[in-house]
Amino acid sequence: MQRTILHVDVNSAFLSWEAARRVAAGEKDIRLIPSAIGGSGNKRGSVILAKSVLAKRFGIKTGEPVLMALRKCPKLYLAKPNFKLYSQSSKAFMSVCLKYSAAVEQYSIDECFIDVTNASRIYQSPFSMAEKIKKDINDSLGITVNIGIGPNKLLAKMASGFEGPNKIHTLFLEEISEKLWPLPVRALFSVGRATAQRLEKAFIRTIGELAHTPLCRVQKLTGEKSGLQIHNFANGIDDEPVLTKPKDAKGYSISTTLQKDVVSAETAYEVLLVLADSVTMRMRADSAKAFCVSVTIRDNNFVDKSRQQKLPEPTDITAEVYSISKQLFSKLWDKKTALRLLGISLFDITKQESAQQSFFNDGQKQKLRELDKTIDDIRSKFGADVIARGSLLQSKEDAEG
Amino acid sequence: MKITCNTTALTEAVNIVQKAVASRSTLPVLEGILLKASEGKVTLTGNDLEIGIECAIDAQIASEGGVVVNSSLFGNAVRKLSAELVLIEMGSNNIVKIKSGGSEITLTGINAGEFPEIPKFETEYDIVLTQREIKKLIRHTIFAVGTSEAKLILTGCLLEAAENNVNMVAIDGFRLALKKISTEKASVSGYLGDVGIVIPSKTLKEINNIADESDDNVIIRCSQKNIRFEFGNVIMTSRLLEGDFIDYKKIIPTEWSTKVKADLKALSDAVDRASVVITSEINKSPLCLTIAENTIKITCETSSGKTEEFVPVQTEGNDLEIGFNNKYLLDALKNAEGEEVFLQFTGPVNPCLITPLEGDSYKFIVLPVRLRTE
Repeated sequence: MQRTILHVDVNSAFLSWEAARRVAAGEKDIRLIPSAIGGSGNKRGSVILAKSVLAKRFGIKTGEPVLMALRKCPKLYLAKPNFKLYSQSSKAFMSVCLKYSAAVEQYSIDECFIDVTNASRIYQSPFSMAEKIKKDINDSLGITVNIGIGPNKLLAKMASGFEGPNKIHTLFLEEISEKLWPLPVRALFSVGRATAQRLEKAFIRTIGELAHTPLCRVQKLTGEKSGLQIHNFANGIDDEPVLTKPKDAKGYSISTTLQKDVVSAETAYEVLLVLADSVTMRMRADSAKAFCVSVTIRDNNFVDKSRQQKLPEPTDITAEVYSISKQLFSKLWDKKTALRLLGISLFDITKQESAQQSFFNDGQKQKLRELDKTIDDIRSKFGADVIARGSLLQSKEDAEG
Repeated sequence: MKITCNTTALTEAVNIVQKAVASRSTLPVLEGILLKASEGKVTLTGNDLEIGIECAIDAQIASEGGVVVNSSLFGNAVRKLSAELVLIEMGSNNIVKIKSGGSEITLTGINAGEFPEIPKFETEYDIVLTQREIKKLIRHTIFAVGTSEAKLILTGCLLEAAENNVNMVAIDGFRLALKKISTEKASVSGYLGDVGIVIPSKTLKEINNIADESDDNVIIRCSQKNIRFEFGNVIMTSRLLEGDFIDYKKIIPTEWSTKVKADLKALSDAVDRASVVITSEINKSPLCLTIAENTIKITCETSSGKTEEFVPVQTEGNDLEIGFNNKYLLDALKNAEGEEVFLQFTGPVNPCLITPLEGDSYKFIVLPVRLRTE
């Protein structure tokens, strides 16, 4: 049976939610001026997280450094990020969507898929249903959304990405030659910068050209698995169901752009400890463990390097992840290049409760596990900042002193 | 330098020394093979600073000398030659000409003086084994060698020798493998201390690749820091791992509360079959062994399915339910020898010792996985 899927995407979510909050409090609507959500401009890690339509006219892009945005538009109004508000607003957004179908998949904080295959019989057409959802969200939450309608998740998502804000677009199979194929390959969902460059070099420049390239050639260019996927996508094929329960995480990762370049191993180690602490805490909250640890570094030319290590037994222990990260880092770094970003990823995730006995350190491991658990408990009760590793406190004092 | 030699012999020598050539290095000379001609032989040397391999072949020497050639280039060139003989000549500026049949290949070489020297050392301790024996020692222990760089010393195998007995031991933290060779031929001279030496696993893997199953001798010469294996026309030199190996004798159980005598092949096959539902590291559950009344029941359940195996055995002592990582148990059983084996246990969270029915030619210890029900 032909499915009907909607993809609902909040327009400039962080900015819309902030604006809606202000409007509700009787303040002016920051959507009507050049405005953006971003951290303070003097921190170089701060980037634009969302922008208003007027800010977009100045050429401001999501993800670019705040400093660069201010150069383009010195009058840009900056609002600070407020993740608590986003989390609440996201929940409210999801609960409106859930009124229309039980099959709703939250895809990210500000977008979801709704399977309306059955529900669409109640409404005249999927389009009129989408109009109702759009109006409901606007009336109850004070924000606008784009809605894409398609026979699968991929086409629905591509459709919602067409012109905005506050628009509904359809992208059915009979429409792809007209609406999807003329777009550049990099516009196709899941085609990143590197893949796009590889395709463009092979003179595959539009989604249509990709759709008409023999599969084996695409696979040769981009790899077997990813080649099959993007070739299917370009032809509008996607069988993924709308998942009402989130899939188990495939991995956990964390990275941070540093306020100052890292030029010494000691500083890098301190950053790695903070990252290891945070990422393993998230993993422990899901009762998951990882068989593989990877470290990524980025220099000021935005060149990334990473290295990974497989483990004989999975781990969720901060101290273990930290120790492996240090080893990986020392193999990656040439001891001179200034680094602007460090990251740790954990993958090959398992939820098995492995208790492989070992000749050594079982007592030590148990102690570390108990330590992690105690810290996690304290943080979940009193907040993340109330407890930190001694070595980090010392370096903070040194920096402040 | 100007030499003529047999193409096949040269190709074989290149294949051997390439195992010690760095595949990627910041120093181009480490990616090279040193060719040195003197006294009726041409000696090829690869040296990645951890392992050095020299291999000498007969050659007609028109003029002596040496040069370093890029290993992969030289190897690719020599392997493709079809004529029986090859002439290698070094001209000025280290230009190397390779002529064979109607082919002529010219390569740019590097001055032989830049090639790092393989450490020479005074031997303090010599062991003589056959090639077959050294391969056996390596094969039956190397599967249990550690991979974690946090415990560097365990990434090597311990070699101990006394009188006519030679032991090799590997421990990765979760299991132990000990192989013992005692032969008339195994002869040991000199003394290196009571603790033995620890050989990097990479060195042992290469020895296992190069040595054959013959009864020809391997002379092993050791000092505190280095080891040299001399066999056939090959000399392999390697540094040793420094540090104290675990006192493995302390972790070998001496008592048991459950003892099993099992047909080795039947047990090993059952463990293998029970593991089919383990499709990846991530989709893994322990094998559960239930030992009672002259039977071992092996079960395994993962998201892919469920298996159950019954193996008739002879049991003594307490009934027991114990879990294992399938790979660790299977590795040990596959490397055990003889028709039957003993498995000894002292409880569900203590090591399992696998030994032959008679003698002490091997000992494998596998640590269990604590089962969830406990």
